[in-house]
Parts: sequence; structure tokens; C-alpha cells
Amino acid sequence: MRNALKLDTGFQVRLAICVVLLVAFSLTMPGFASIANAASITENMGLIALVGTGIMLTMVVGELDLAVASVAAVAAIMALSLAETSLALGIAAALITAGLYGAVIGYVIEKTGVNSLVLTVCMLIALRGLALVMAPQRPAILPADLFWASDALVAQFGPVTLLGVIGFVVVIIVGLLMRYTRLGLSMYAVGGNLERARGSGVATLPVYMTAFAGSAMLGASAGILAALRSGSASGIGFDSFLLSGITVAVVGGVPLEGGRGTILNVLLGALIIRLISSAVSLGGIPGSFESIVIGGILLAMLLLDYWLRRRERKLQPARA
Amino acid sequence: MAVSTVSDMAAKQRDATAEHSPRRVWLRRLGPFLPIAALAAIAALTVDGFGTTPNLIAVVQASAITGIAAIGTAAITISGKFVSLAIEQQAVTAAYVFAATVSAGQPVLLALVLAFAVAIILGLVQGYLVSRGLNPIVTTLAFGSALFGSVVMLADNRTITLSPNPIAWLGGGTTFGIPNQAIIFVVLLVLGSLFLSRTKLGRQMVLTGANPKAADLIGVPTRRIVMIAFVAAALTAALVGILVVGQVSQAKSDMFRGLTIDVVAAILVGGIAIQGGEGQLWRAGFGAIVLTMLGNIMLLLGIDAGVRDLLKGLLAAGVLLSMRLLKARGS
Repeated sequence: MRNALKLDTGFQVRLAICVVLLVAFSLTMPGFASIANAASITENMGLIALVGTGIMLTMVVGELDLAVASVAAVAAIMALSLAETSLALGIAAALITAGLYGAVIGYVIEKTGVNSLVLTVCMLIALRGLALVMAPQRPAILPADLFWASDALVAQFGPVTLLGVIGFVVVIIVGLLMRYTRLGLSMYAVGGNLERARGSGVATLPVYMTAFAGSAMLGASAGILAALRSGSASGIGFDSFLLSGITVAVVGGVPLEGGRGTILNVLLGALIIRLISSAVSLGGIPGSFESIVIGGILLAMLLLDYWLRRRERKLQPARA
Repeated sequence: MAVSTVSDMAAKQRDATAEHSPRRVWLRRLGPFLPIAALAAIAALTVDGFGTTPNLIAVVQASAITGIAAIGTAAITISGKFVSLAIEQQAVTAAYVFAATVSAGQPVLLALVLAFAVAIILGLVQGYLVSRGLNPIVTTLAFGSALFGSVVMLADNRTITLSPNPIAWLGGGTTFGIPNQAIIFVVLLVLGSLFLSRTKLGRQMVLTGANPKAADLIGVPTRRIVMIAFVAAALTAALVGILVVGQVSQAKSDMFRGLTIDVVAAILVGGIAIQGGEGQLWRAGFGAIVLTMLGNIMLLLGIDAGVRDLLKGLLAAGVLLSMRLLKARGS
């Protein structure tokens, strides 16, 4: 493990950025370096890390799931609507439905070779409609006798809340599965070079189905957690998930062409974004500024990646 | 998938046309639309009020806004860069630039020039980034977010109301009983189609989408063409922004909510090959009309907005997949 960290300069760079941001904001902003703010940062970090990890799964296999926000909305509304009968049943049903939906999408993409960006944009539209159908006039509401669930999620244990901890645990389990299971390694192989992976006997169908099912279930779990926290879920309340999820994955160093990406970097990507967002909101800057910041970070990362790759290309002939 | 050369592809295409009878080719091209056309015919016969002239004019007008934006965005699709996810943000930007300039007492012409100049700059920046190999969807998503945040912050999230509105005749008026927006829509569709089929640049755009490597090799300025496509998309988005300001006499931040999705759905339902390299611009307009028509039918039937979006998405996915499967079987 130490060896792996040593080799991974990307991890060290991200860690350094986190430390610099943490120190700079703590010194310049009153109220930033408080336990309450730390809990808020880690809680939201856990939430966007879930979405970002889902996006990462599809990016690692060389695809991209644009429907996560709509999946999150449908799952959240479903969980809250069924909560009147039983909360556990609602959550389980929403997660299983999301998983089945994702598996079907992965199946269709593998079998037809259709572009995943475009198919998932269609699903983004369709599922947003479905969310509006399920909660037509007003948002789905958590029944009053279940408010304890909201309270439990935001219960603070030092610098973390239960919601944040759930996010971290799930994300780390996904990371371990990707690293130490055959299927997880196959995902990297498929994203690195599809033809070579097929040639060396990797079964690609389960890889695609797992990636999209995982992405849908992670998006759904983030949606359910956010809905339980706030006690309500509406069709358009989760739109920001897509942009922040992609930004987390890209800042976490997952290349859009696939084949690479580690959970630790994605977690640091989520931390970087939450540190900046938290500083922005503490600074009293209007809400629209956050969309500038997130969009700007994503654009900057895309440019940086382009510039690094161009430099690599230029250096390559000299090395050969 | 092995990289096939241009001559391979040309040969395959020749074989394909030789093997299939003309009827088969015709079916392949129009196949995805047959269910939609059937639906329209049934609606005209069964849904009260659908087949009336005022309703049909209303459908055309409502589809004009989506359609105009779809024409420019189709240039991005045709040149092989999928779609832009920053359409509504660019329309809002133009609406604010135009409305702010007019309400500051400046002449309308200056406001128009400013709005379009801003659009050209936005298009050039996005086009430059994408032409250097950045992912178009992710780039426009990020760009749109940053742009929207900037515009809302600069405008202090106010609503700018124009009274009197100097371009009310353009946005809401009619000529010989036909809405001006619809006339602009049709004129742009014709001009765009002529550009793609009759000009060198247009044919180069189609080639860039069909096979960027081959286009590069024979000296087509593919990067410049991608930039032109993004400028075209930005200009039509700006035009939509200005037209709607003309129609509703105000600019506000949420005035175009859902436009991007409508435009993307129109392009997909119209059946422009999303992999690029197809010059059939009319499909974008067709998609916009079909979607508006379906929305109109469902509105008349009292079906709510969620179901409309649900069907819109499923229809787009259906056309996308059936085109993909027909293509796979054909080659």
C-alpha cells in the first residue's frame, strides 16, 4: 500500500491541494475551522462522493452515465412514498429498482453498441418525467413518525455525521470491490482497451451491466439519503447531482476515456470540491456563485488534462 | 471494432445499396418515423381540436423555439460532436444582454449586435475547447453551469421587463396570419439545408462528422469546422433568447428551463445520426415539430407534464436504438 501511494503522484498532489485549501480557508475565514463546519463538509462530501463514485464506475469502463440525477429523484420519491408502509421496504425497493434499471441499460449498451452518453440523456429526460408523474403536484414527504430517521442521519459524532459515514463506508466498499475482485479488475481492462480485453477472454456483458447498475444504485442511494435528510423529495430537486458527480470524478483524476481511476483520489476530489463550496457559502457569496465555481473547476480540470496529455504526446517521440 | 478506411466504408456502402432494393433503403430511412406519422394521423381523426387550423398554427409556433435552437445544435451533431448541454444557458445570456441593453436606453440594433457578438464569443470558446479534443458533453455541461452562474450573478437575479417592447412584432407578431417565429424557423431550416448540401464548407462539415481522420487527411480544416458548428449553435440559441424576449417582454433567469432537453430530444427523435456525418438538417426541425405535436395531443387529452417528459425520453431512446439496430443490420 505504501508503495502504491508512493507511485501515485496524483494522490499526493490532491492531498497537498486539500491541505493547502484547509489551511488557507481556516486562517482567512472565521468559522471555517469549527467542528460544526467540518461535520457539514464531511456530510456533503459523503453525499457527492457517492454520486461521483457511480459516475466513476461508468467512466472506468469508458462510458458515462448522464441519468444519475433523474435516477436519484425517482429512487428518492419511491423510497419516501413507500415509507408509509415500511421505510426499510421503501429503501430496498428503490435500490433494487435502480439496480435492475442500470443492469438493463448496461445490457442494451453492450448488446447494441449504442453511445452511452446519448442513451442516458434519453433516460435523463424519461426518468425526470417519471419522477414528476410519481410526485405530480408537490414533493413526496417523509411521514412524521419517521422523522427520527432524518435526525439520526444528521446526528453529529465529532467532525462527522451518520450520513457522511454511510457515504464513506459505501464508497470504500465499492473501491475495495473494484480493486480486489475479478469483475472489478475486468472493468479497468474493458475501459483500457475493449478489444484486447475481449481478446483475452474478459466477459464484457457483466462488466457493462455492473458498471451501470452500480452507477444507478449509488446515485439512488445518494438521492435517498438526501431525501431522508431533508424529509422530502421532488422531481427536480436533484439536478445538481449530475454536474457535481462528474466534477468529483474528473477532479478525482478519472480520465474520460476510461481504464483508470481510484477511489482514494475520488474521495479527495469530493473533499476539494466541498472545501471550496463551503468557503464560498461561508463567504456570503450568492448561491449562483457555486455553479460558477463547480463549472469552473470542471472546465479547469478538463483543460489541465488536455494540456498534460499534449505535453505527454510531445515528450513521447523524444523518449523513443 | 477495427478501424476501417474510407475506401472500405465506401465499398461497404456500395454493397449495401446494391444488395437492398430501393424499397428497403426507403424503409430504412423512414422506418423510425412511421409510428410517429401514424400517431399524428390517428390524433387528427380522434382528438377533438387537434386538426383545426388555429391549433396547427399554434403547434408550429410552439415548435419554432425548440426548432430554431435545434437547427444550430444539429450543426454540432452533424460535425460529430454529439450535442451541447449549454443551450438554455446561452439563450438566457442573450435574453439578458439584449434586454439590459434596450432597457439602458440604447438602440435596438446595438442590443442585437451585442447579444449576437456575445454569442459568437461563447461559441468560439466552446468550439475551441471541443475542437482540441475535449469531451463536448462534459465541456458544455461545465461551461453552461459557469455561464449561467455568471449571468445570474451579474443580473443580480432580477427580472428585466421591457415596456414598451421594441421587438414585440418579431417575437409575437404574424405575417399573413403565420407567426413570425415560424417563418424564421422555416427560413433557417431551408438556409441550413442549402448550406450543408450546396456549399463546400457544408459538405466538409458532414465529412468531418462522418470520418474526422479522413477529413483531416484530405485537408479539411476539421478544427475550424467544429468551431463554426459551435458558433452556429450559440447564434441560434441567442436568436431564441431574443425572440422569446420579444414574445414575453422580459428576461429572467428561469425563462428557458427545459429548453436544452427539448432540443436534445428533438435532435434524437428527428433521427439525425448521433455519430455525425449525416447532412439531413430537416430531421432536427421534424423532431421539434413531432415532439411539440405529441405534447399538444397529450395536453388536449389532459395528460400531465410528467407523462409527456417520460414519453419524450422513451421516444428518443426508441428512435435512437431502432436507428442503431437498423444500421447494424444494414452494414
